[in-house]
Amino acid sequence: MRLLIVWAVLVAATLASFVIGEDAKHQAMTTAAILAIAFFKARLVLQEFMEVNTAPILLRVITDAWVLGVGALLIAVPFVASR
Amino acid sequence: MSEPENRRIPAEAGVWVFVISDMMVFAIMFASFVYHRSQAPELYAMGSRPLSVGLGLLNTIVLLTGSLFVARGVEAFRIAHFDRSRRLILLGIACGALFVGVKCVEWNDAFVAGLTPLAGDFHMFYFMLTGIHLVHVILASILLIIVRNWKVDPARPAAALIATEAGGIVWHLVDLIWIVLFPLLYLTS
Repeated sequence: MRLLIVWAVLVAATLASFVIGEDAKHQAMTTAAILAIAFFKARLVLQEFMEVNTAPILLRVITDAWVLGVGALLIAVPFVASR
Repeated sequence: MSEPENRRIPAEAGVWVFVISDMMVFAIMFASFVYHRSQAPELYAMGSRPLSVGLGLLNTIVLLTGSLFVARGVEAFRIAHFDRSRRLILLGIACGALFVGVKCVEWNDAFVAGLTPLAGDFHMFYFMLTGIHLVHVILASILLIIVRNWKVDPARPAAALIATEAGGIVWHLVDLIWIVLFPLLYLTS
């Protein structure tokens, strides 16, 4: 049951990011929101499907660092590096 | 840091060394793509326009659904429901095959329209990233086929469980990478 709920949340989040992507007016913010949703989904897959939530602390720290670090980097690059 | 007794690493530590290395390699490729795109946003926007968001979305749902089957398959294996586990993992493999089929349609459409990896920077990244990911989907599916046919040795039942968990983790890794690739290529370019 829990896995089914996780799947439903993941599908709903996917559809939400698709709908947000249709709005072309506020490009920079839309991109940031879509990527934030993607990394939320990535964390959910790690925690629930890959069972990091019951794994030793070290694994949780490493995977959370990846989610936060890579997520923040991809969101920040366009703001910092654009011409 | 003290940890509760019941915490355990899914499958084996070695599997996670591979998984995290792979996540790091993809992180570098994602960052490289986002950086180059930030230098020429109009060019990338033009490049991504012919992509079918619908097919990308479909493939996202296919992988997520595959993940649900595989996760439930591992769960079933753990309570010794082996037949049920094998059925669920087979459904996961079918999702892998479906993903590959949809990707072939997508690439074929691109080639027919004259969009090869040489069509521009966006297409160079598009074919490289989706290509490397596609290889992952195929390898993860093959791994699931192997795991599915793994005979449970009554003397060492833990070995088969570790193999099943490892197959599941690698499958979910492929799903995880696509979760980031899909918005990067299809939704935000």
